[in-house]
Amino acid sequence: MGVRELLETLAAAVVENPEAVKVSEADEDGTIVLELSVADDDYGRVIGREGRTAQALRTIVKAAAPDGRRVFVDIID
Amino acid sequence: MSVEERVRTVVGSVVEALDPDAEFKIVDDGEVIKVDIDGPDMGQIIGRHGNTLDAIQHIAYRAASVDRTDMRRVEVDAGGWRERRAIELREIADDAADEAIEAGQSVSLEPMSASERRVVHEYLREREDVDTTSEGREPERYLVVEPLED
Repeated sequence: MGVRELLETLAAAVVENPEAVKVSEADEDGTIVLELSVADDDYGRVIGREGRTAQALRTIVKAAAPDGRRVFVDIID
Repeated sequence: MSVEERVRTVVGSVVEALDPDAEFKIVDDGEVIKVDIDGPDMGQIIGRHGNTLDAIQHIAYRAASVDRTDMRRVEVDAGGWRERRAIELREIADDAADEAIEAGQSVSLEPMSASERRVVHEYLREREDVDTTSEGREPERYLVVEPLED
């Protein structure tokens, strides 16, 4: 499972509208950039209290990065 | 989807992505949903100071409680790391409590994650001669052990 699919699966698990979860992947100078978007009502759920859920998603996705590549997770609204 | 299936989805995807050689089991005792991950090398799953393990536990909990009908605790361990770390933390806690009593003043511990602070808080609650509080901001939040006057 790649980092994009992983982020999509984890984000879908913590929201009320999993069908609205979308993750795009781009390569910027070797850094993997993942852009996560969710339903309007679900932003609070992927960010969490004091940003804890967003931080946890980033920690896991970075640990799964292939060959120690940098991964940047952007939550877009 | 049942709570256990939600937890299984989260842990299963993380294990597949981080360490396909690892296996895991989920035990739901009605109070706590316990996940044990095991395999030849748990370093990738545990992460620095247990950071990755705490992140997996947080996401598994958020997934389990997404519809807010079930707010049970979720504990995720890998290769018995949390239990070994808890033994260390209880030693650190006892040393700090003894030092606070002897010196008659508060003793601050090193910064710890929320789950590690909970281990120390719960352990020292059993001692009647000290009190514990947390100070500072994440991720530098730390525990302070205060001697109680008798």
